[in-house]
Amino acid sequence: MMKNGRKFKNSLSGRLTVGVVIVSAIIFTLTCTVFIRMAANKVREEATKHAHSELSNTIHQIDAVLNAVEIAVENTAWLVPYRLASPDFMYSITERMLQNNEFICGAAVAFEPHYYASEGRYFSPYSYRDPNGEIKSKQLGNETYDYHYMDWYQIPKLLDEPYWSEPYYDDGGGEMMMTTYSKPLYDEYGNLYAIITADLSLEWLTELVGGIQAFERSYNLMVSRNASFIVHPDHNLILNETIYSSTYGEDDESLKKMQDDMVNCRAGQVLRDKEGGKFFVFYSPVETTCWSVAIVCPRSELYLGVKKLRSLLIFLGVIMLLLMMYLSYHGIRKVVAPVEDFSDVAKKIAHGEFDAELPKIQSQDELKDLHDSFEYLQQSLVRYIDELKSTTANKERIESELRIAQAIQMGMLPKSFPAFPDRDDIALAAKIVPAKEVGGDLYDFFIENDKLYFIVGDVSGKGIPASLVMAVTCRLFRSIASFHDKPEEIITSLNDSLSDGNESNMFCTAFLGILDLKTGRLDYCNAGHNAPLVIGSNGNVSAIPVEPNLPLGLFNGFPYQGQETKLEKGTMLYLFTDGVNEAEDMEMNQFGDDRLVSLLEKNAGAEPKEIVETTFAQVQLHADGANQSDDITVMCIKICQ
Amino acid sequence: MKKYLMILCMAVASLFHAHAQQITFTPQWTPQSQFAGYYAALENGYYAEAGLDVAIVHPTSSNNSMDMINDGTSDIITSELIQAMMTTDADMKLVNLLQTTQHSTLVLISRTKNVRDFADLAGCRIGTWKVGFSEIPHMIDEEQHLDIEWVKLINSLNLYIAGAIDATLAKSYNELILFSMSGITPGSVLYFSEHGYDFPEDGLYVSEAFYKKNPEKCRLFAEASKKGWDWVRDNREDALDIVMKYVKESNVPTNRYNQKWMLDAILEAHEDVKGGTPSYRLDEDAFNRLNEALVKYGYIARPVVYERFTGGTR
Repeated sequence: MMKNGRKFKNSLSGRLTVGVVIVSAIIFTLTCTVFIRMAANKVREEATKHAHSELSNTIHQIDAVLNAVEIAVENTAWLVPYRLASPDFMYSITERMLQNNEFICGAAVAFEPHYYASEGRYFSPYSYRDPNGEIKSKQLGNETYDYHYMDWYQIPKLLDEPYWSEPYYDDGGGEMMMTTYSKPLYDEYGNLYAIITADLSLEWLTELVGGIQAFERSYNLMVSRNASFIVHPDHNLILNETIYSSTYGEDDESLKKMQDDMVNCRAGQVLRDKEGGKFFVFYSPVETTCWSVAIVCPRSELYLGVKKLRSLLIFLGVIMLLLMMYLSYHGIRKVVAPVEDFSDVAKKIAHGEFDAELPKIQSQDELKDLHDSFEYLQQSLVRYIDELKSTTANKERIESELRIAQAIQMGMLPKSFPAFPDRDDIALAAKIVPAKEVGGDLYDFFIENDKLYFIVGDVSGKGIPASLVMAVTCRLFRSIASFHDKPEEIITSLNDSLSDGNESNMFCTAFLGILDLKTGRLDYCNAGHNAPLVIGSNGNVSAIPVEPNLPLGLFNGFPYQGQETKLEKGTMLYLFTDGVNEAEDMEMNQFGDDRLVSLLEKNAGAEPKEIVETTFAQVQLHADGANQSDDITVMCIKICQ
Repeated sequence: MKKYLMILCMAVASLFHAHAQQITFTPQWTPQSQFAGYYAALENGYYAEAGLDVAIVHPTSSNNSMDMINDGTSDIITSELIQAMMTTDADMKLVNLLQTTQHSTLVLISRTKNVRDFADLAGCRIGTWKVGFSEIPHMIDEEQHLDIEWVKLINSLNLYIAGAIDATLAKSYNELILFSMSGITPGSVLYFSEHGYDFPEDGLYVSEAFYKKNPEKCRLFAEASKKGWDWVRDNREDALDIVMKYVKESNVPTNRYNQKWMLDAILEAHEDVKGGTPSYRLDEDAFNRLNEALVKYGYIARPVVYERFTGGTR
């Protein structure tokens, strides 16, 4: 478990440690594998060299003996033709061969049938060593031992060249397993008359080959040219089995290669996989006789050193990885600990403790950068919060001022309805909803001498500038209207006042009317405003014809044209700003003049207040949550019966 | 009571033994699977069951089976048909008790590849057994004027390996496997049976005199031997155990793999028709064809009479 109850596997240091250990283990395993493989190859190469060196030494010794025998025969054979006249002297020749070479265990001069008429078909003086080592002689051939059909006689005779016989058990002469070197002898006419031979006991060969100790648990064998075992630890196999019969039922490429090489005088080595395990077989031929000497060694012994090395490496590897895991974990923990401290500091900062103490970092590395970043963050946050406090205070002040301004602005407009409770000849309702805290729309009205003075206007732009122009316009309307009887005069006066010093080029559309409540005559002047609608007592809705004129405040001295009409009793005059017909929904679709007319037609029988409220309700329904983009103002005047 | 009963039994047994005169049986070669049926008959007690006291005595290099029956050392021998007919024609009338091998096992192993007929070996040096069995090859040589240099030998393997001979006669159940066990892949192998020379070979023989004197013994021996061969056919591994026992007792340089191959080849040659049950009967047609060839090439002076040669019973 870690700090804050975090589990090892979920901690950064834990994961980094596992990563380091896994990567290290992979690298170590790969390195060891390559190393072990190289070591194994080297061991195999060295073992092969060593085995073939041992084989080479042995084969040299065998060749030396075989050559000595061949030389002994050569050195003796020349005597035979000179002593042919004396058959008994042949015994001296064979004895001499044994005397001159201690390896020779038997020697013979085997004559062709009836070479000596006096000796009959069989005449083969033969000398041998008795069990006491004394040299004895006898005549070898007889009806039961017809040497003329022995390999050692027949083959050199047919080949016309000296011959080393395949090892055989001689039960007619030497009574032992032996091999015989035979040399054909020819008379002056080239006719063969005898074969001179020297027998070599294979006991010395068995001792020599069997004595090779190339490896601790290796054993050696030797096979003849006809694949028979000549030397083998299992004596039952000697001359009874061949390298083919002894492996009957086994079928693999290495065996075939070995067999093929051995009977064809080739050196080599194979790895054999038998039930008892894997064995290396190193073999090399004796050139003179084409016998093959082999060393058989369990593979496990050859690789014993490599196996020990591998075990040691695995042991060291495990120790190293455990140590690395411990050191890595604690090392990484030490490095990562400040990060956890920074994490704690971040939490404190999040809780508003901006001056929380940062961990001490002595190094100049990434942690130092992190420390500096945190320090900068703290300073920035303090500064930002200060600025935010100031900004918020300002905003609150402005909002407060705007609320006051709104109250003042609204206070400038008559908002007590019914506006004229003491009169029954007129009903009037009006409402204004600015798009922002304060707006640029305006309306005003008053009655003087039974005449209703009223105005509806819309200052260009929105917000505070528009609200100031609206305030000025409203104040000017009140102060100017009482001195004039005609709307165009009032409008002209308003225009002149507003346009004078209007450097910001703000303007105001307006519809100003004077309704004679007694006669129903309406004098009016339009300054670029929407034409008001008349709702007849019969429910018809129509726009009052208006001159467009220019909005107020643009051109000083502009000549505004007044107009007049008569409103019947029961009709209503509906005035509005473009915030009504141009109110937009989410898809930017406007409320529209047609829809407004239709709305008024449906509500023709309603009272002004109801029509005003219905208008606002329908506009809000149309907007369907869309932000109000413009001030909305509606005024409805009804001439009562 | 038990004691008296035991003495009585022993007396009866000794009386029976006295009547069971020993028969000496000699196969024509040293112990090997070629004679497995006879070893099995002895080891399994089939001869004893028939009331026969049989001793198997193998020949030696100086004393072959034909010599042994001739000098009375052996009563019953095995022999190839040709040797038996030639012996019958020459000096001693033999009677065939049982014809085991129905087909020729003679082959010719050549160093040269693509040898399709004997004519391809004209002028070659070919090994042949010193002890015989080469009459058919010699007849072919003479008939086709092949001018073959025949080299008599005891063991063809080493002469072949050394290159001292171009080809050698061999038995499919014997030398052919020896060559294989020595890692030799012959250039070509000619089977005489596939070239119009498919004659019966091994059979069981007694002298006519012995046969006339002991016809029942001969019949019982032949039946027990046949029973032995039948058992061998059905129990090859057990039969091999018996063969290897005889092999070891005689210090014959061989091995089980060699003997297994030989047994399989021999049993196949016993079948009249491949895969069929052996009849153990000497085929008269084959006998007559062989008779004619042997007379033609002078191996026998006159034809051997089938009825007499087979004891007048077949």
